[in-house]
Amino acid sequence: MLRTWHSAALPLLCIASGLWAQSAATNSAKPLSDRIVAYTIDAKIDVNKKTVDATETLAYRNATGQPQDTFPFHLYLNAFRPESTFSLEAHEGGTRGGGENKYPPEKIGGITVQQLTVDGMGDLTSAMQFTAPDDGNMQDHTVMQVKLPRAIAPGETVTFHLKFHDKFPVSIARNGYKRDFIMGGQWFPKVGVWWQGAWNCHQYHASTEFFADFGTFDVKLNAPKRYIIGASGIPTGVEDQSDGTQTRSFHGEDIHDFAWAASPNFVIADDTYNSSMGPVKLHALVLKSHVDQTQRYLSILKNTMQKFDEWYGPFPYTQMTLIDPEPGSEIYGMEYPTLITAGTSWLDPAWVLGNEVVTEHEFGHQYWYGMVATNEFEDAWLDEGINSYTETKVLASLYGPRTSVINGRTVAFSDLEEQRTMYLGNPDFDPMTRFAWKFVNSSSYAGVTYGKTATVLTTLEALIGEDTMRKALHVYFMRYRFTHPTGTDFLNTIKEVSGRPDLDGYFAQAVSGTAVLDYAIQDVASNPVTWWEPPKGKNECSNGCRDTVTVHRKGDLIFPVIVEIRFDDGSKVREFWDGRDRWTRFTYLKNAKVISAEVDPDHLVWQDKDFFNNSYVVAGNHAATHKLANYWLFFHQLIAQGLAWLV
Amino acid sequence: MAGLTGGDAMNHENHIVGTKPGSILTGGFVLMCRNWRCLTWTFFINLVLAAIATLPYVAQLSALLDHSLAAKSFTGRLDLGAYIEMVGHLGERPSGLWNSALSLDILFAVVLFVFTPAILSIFLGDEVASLGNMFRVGLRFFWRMVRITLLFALIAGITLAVLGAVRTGLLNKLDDIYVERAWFTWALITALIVGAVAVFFRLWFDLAELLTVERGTYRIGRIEDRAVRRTLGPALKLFRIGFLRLYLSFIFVGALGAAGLLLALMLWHALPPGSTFLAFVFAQIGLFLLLASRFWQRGLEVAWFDYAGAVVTPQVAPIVAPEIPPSYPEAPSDPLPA
Repeated sequence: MLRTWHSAALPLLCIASGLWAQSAATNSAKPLSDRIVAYTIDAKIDVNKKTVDATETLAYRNATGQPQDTFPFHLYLNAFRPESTFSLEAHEGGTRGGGENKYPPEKIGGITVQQLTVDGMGDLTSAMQFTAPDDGNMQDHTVMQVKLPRAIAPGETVTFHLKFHDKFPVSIARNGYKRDFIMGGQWFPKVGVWWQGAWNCHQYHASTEFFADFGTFDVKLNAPKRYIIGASGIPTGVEDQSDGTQTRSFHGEDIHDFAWAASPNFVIADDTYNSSMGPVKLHALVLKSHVDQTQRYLSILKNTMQKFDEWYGPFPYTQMTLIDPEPGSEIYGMEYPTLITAGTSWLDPAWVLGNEVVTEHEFGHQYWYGMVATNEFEDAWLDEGINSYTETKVLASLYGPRTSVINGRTVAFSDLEEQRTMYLGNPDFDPMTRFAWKFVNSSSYAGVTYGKTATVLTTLEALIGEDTMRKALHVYFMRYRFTHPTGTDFLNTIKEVSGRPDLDGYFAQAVSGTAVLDYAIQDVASNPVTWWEPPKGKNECSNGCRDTVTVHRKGDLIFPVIVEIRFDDGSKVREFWDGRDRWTRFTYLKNAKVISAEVDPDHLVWQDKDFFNNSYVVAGNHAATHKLANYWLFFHQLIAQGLAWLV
Repeated sequence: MAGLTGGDAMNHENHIVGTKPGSILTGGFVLMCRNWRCLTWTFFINLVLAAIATLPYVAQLSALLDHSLAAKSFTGRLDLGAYIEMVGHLGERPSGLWNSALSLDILFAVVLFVFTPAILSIFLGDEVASLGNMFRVGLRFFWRMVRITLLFALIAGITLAVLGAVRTGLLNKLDDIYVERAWFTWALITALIVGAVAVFFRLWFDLAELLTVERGTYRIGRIEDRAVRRTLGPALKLFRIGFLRLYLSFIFVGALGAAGLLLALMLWHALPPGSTFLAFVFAQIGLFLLLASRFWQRGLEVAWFDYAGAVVTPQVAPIVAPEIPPSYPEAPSDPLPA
């Protein structure tokens, strides 16, 4: 039996040792972020009407350093109306899942804030106003602001109480419902971010994502018992209700968003990953129609977590939830803090790594977006692009550099090639640094934000080395996790770690500019020195040859390259060219002819838009032409015979 | 002179006259083999036209690949990223590669407007299988083939469009209930139903073409009938004798051709990546088998016609000479004619 003083001392000792302070939601003894927000949400999901009725309490701590009397809120669900900016942009320029041309009633979604009160200030429902800070479209309704009767002093906390009603649209742009599956993403009023001296609360656009402050979430979700719910954070309780429903509670810490998914068709599969910070529960909710894909999901999740832990930094949360989305919905491939939606198909063969690519990518967002919480509206490349780059690295490490997407018997495709292909589709319209909603169209947004960034960062390895690049990303993650860094922060980190302040020249062209990189072997010639004399014997170069190789910089982007020249006497030489002039010529006097010349022989400059003109082989080889021509011939004979069936 | 029926008037020396329906498969096969020149000429033209369509493609590929080290991406396992980039570079050159190739594919279909009636005529035994005859006879029936095809496009097109719309509507409804494998099963079943109807139309109009050629051929006592629409009803009647047997035989032969192509493709796929010549050989074998199955189908239709044709071939009114009264008394007591 303990003496009394032991009983008193024990809790103090536990606090001192950190045991009492150990978070259940993270493997950290102390908060990981500067927690600005604390959300408490109590929601009832109507699975038949696809609606949610909820109350929200938001405690906002004024860390802006200034008094604040106006607070903007995101009301993202209002984007799913034909009058919204999102719908107009999707109709004109496309969005994931294609452009929208029809708006039947089931596609309309929305969020209505029925009441807003503020502690100590009363009912401010009538003080809410829609704003449109980006395009002035007052019908948009995805941003609302409320002006308080008195300002909140720096350091003070203001508590908002909101009552709201959601209507989910049929699956559109990573949101909504499909059959009896409901995705609760961007479903609650979310306060904007005070960033760089001003409120940053953009409208929801066809090609934008999200931006919010770190904090805590305590969410209760009520739904019929037969529904299985996966959510951000960790589950903290289940309570049966008298009406046959069940209320499930969740808690999240040091996250900036909260999402959930509900379906009666989930099959739960749990596993554990032992991260460097402690165990992480892997909670997979896989649809019955995809149960055979469960191990693929868990395997890629674990392998990806291991790579990220090893290369970039630890994963601090105690649970990672993976949702297998409803087939035919647009809810696949999306990230939320500690919850991702992946995507697979019953037809997915093992040699097509679609499942793996999506899962890896969405987990990668836990780092680039989830913890390094960049502004996805204004710096989309910092999360999608960096994530696409690390995706190529992780997948190459796991599945081979050339076979990380397709590993078939007769065909291969790598993730890096896929990124480059996306980039080459739209190489010169928009810079990486453009605000996400200002790209010329959705295709350029995707090609540049994902593909170009991955290609540029891969090309950067040619200047600083792959190991240095990895180290730079590690430093960037560790330094800026749980904050909101900018593109300048990222690029400065690279320069600092690599010791290369001169990288600004490349960044100005590749990151902030639209210049295209393209080097070509212009011509190759071997002429006898005594060209006026007839050749003696078969070897024209027996008296010496003047060998020339001309390299042309066809693109506007200046980048130093290596050129390798091979001769028929077996020798080879590598030359360095800074690429500043439009062309350069290498000349040799040798008793040998040039047989081939190649720019970038080590294949490091992935940003080059044309790999086919990078080399020239004097003696032609028709093997590839004949092989491809055979396919074309077969294909057209088949089409002709098919057309003949109409006769 | 005895009345002549269409059946009696036909010169079917080249036919295997099938008294039993079960012999239409072998009958059709024998017809195809006996008139192998038709098949080989048709295949030859298919190959030549596609080869012409390939020439500009080869020229562009050569310019891009023959002197580039990047071509290694295609000589072994196909590098899909390199292939996509290559297609992009070809697309930068305004050569109309695709359009010119498609035009030649369409030209082959046009050639078959000429060859089909000739092939049918040859199978019917009315002509000798030679390239000259194929053009000569075929050109006679060219516009009739065009008209039949237009009728086919109209009747089959409308019907299949309606069926397709019904299928789409049904699958959209089923999408609310079924997913993945279950939904795919429904999609496959409904596709097979629509496909079965499409096959029926194809077979019906094949028979209509056969009757068009048969009726359009000059024979003693027959008036050449150029009205293709009058073959549709009789073609349908040809099914009456044994619809399922004919229909299933038609599908069976088509399936054999498809299986032959598939087998050739599998052998192609199994080759080492650099075996271009063998790949070409296997591809051509597969395409030849596919075309041969179409000829076999035509043969079995002719064999079926032989078996069932007498029922539906229009009977020409017999030429009956008027009775001529005797010009002399048949008996001594008969009065003399006036």
